[in-house]
Amino acid sequence: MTALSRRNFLKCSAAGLAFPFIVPRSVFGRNAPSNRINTAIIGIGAQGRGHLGHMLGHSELQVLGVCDVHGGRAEHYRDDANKRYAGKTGTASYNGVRSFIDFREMFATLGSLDAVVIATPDHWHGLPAVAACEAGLDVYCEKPLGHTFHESRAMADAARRHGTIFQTGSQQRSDSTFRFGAELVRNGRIGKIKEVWVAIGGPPKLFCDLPADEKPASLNWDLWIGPAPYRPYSKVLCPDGWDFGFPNWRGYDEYGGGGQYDFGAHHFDIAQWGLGMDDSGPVDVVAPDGKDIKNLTYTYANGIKMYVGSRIKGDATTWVGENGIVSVNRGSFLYTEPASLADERFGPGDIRLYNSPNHFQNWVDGIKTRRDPICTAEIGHRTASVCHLGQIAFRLGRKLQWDPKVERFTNDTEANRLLRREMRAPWTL
Amino acid sequence: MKTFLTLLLLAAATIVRAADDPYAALPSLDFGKPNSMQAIWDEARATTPSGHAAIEAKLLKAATTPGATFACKRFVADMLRVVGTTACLPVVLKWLDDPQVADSALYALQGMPGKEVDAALLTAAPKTGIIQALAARRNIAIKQFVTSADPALRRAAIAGLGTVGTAEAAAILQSLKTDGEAALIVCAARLLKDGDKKTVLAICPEQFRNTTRPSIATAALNLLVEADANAAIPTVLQALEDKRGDVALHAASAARFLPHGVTRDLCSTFPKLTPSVQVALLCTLGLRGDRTALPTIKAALASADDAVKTQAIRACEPLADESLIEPLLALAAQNTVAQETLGRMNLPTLDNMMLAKLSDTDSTKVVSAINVLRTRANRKAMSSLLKLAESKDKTVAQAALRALDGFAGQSEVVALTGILQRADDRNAVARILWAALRGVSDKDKRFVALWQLAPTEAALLALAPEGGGTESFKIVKANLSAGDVALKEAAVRALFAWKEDDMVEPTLQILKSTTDKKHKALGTRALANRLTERKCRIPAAKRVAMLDEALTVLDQPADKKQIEWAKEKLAEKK
Repeated sequence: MTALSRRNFLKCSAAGLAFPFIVPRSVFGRNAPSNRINTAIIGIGAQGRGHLGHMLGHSELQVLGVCDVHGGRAEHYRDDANKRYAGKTGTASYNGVRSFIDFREMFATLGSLDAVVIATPDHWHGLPAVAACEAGLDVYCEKPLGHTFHESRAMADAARRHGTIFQTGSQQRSDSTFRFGAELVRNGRIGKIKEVWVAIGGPPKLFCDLPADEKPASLNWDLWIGPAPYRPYSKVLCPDGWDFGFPNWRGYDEYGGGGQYDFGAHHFDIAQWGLGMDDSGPVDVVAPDGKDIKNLTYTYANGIKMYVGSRIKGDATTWVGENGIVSVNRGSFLYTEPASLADERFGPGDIRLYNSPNHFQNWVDGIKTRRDPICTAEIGHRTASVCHLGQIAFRLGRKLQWDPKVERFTNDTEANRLLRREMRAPWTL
Repeated sequence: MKTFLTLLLLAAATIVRAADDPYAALPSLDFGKPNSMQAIWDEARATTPSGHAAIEAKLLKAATTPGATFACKRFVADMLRVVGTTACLPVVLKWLDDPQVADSALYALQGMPGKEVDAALLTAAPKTGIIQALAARRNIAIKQFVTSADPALRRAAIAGLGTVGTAEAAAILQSLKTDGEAALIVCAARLLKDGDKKTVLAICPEQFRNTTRPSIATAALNLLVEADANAAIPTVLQALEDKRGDVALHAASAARFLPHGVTRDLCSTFPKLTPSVQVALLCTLGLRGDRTALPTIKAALASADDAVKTQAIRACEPLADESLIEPLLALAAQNTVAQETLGRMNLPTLDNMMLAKLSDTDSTKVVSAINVLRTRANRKAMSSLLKLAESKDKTVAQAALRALDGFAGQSEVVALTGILQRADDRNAVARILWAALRGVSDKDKRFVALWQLAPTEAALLALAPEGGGTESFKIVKANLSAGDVALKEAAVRALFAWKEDDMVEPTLQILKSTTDKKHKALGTRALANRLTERKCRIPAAKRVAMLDEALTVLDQPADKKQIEWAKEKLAEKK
């Protein structure tokens, strides 16, 4: 990042340093851009669109760039953003938002950038996130954190090294029902935990064998593939246009992690929060074998078993303790045994977990205070690790022992080889 | 048609062949065509590593079949990523020269154990990907490319030395000055992970001092703190006033990891810092939990800068000191952050102090105490809150009512019913009662229970739509003809707010019989909304007839327009 960041803008201008600033300071009145956090977004698909809309409406953020490997899409949302800012300022036109196809060009061009939101397919999380940390930008990155174990570890390390305010998009942490459930568990309200149930989908297909389609003219397919193994264009992976649902890149191991990573990044995350395992993980994992082992099963060092499956109708994460059950899901779903636990209150001496009422705002607040947000890259990495271990167990079909401290399998060389996926040159992490 | 049948037959033949030997179909593997991959994955999954050599051999045979497709080679490479041994080198190394499958070759080779793999990669024609693979294998031999004439190879080698992460790699990167500084940071992090603190402590202070790049300086500082927090103290203190980019902010953040004794020094620098660095340092002082920082934090509570003040309030929570309660309480009447902070502060004496404040003569303090006790969900406050809900001081009464909402439970129902009869704001009390009965999960039954508490109370009847069931609706209908004006009005409003089709007929009747313009307007809107609702189960034709019927009794243009709108919407749905 250049020295002309938002935070030292006033200092520079006071010194009479001339530089091109994208928006005149008067444009936004009290919320002048110099007081705002200059942001950009990478990936404007189904998820990114929501983020972009939120960013444009946020009084503390100023969007400077939109980046997508589909040039037409990037331009469309750039124009949309400029129109919105023009409407806000009551001016006929506004051109402060620029579009990019390549995030590297965006980082190099937008020198006053403070922070970036990454909402790309999974195989494209690691590289821009690490590059952003190294450029001194703060990062909001969609879940699951890294597409491979190696990537998410590299992201967490880069964030720690560069003091990045890094929020992983596992936003259930900022939902009061999930927090309450985790606090009940952490405070021993259901006694010693015996098992945890996590209701998520299955693993992805290991090889994307979709038919080749005709590539849209304004899509840079080579860049969409990026570090992942090459294959011809498929509209299933990246539809043309700018208004579509969630494309199914998630269904294929090269680009996503199936339902296991998609909701695993949420529900494993809550499970680990309740267990106090944010800086650790299970010690073994075994995939279902169609015979004796019915569920993907993890074991923690303290003997707690975590099963992938549903324990209570409608649940997402369910902790079973010696004295009761706590089960949570979205839509304020809370099931407890005994029922009275739902009215439980916490007092002095109880463990109070990090309280973030709004995941995105928590990140924005962190940028200003430098306080770690609720779901740091390290937490995101530990959650993603649970997904990675599950995926490797599915692929190898045998019980794997894991050392969460050194983060290596202790009984399987082949499993360790799968912790990392080689990147297509020239990409590397 | 003929071509289609031929293709179909070929596909079927492939499947049949695959069923017998999944490897036979592999050379022609292609995107969008039936394939035998699942059978191979299943076989690998069912085989222990000792049996993987056989699988490797079959994969290599398929991949070397003349005409083997790109998809086949990519699939084989991905399988070799797991089962590959040096036995595959003769095949895979050749792929490195083929631009189409060179990447696939590296998938197979990069993680493969064996010195032979390193040797083979080093003898291959140098390429970025090969250097990256060697770097991932932490092979220092890539240093030879640091002086390469090819800029791509040179860049790959420099970045790669960071990944190699040895003292030798660090020395080379240091000698490259600016060109090597980003990789040197990665290298230092690797060294630290491997336990070589000595080298890190030699690299980082120099990096911190010499670089002009704020992100490099920040990383050097953070690594220094991680390597030896004691040794890092002078650098961090000095960095709080660093002028390079955001380095000072990061220093404030890194200070959380410094040893206990440094708090006084951090506080002494506080007044000299910019407000944004003060915010970050206050956050750190809170997280450090060292009460030596109390005077600085208390002073910051009075800061003229809102951001500094807010962060000072937040910093109070982890410190949890009694001396912070009064200043926070003074802020809590207006400041929700102060309320939350007191609400979450882990201080056993705080609850009794707040309970005592409930009888304070200063109503501002009483309101603050109410808010804090509510946040702390302290049930000991319940009886006081019930009393304060009837306080003559309206601000206090409103605060108490707000606090009781969702907090009062079954045990408070009797007392609340009494308050209901006397309250000015009966709707607020009715809502509190509704929430107090939350233990009755069936909402229809809950409303019946609520109604039985005071069966002539209009404010309760207004909650009937929350009940939403048959019994609740019966109560509403019965009161549509109530003699009491307020009760009848509440019943009409409840009917209009009803979210089921039952409301349609009685609403229509009201529209026909009433002369009250407001009722006509509200009833018309409710009817139009219900009949155009997606969940409305009344047959479409009947809905239109009902709207037409309503139209005949309406005289206000706005009401008629509402009905016309509904008819148009229904026509659109058709």
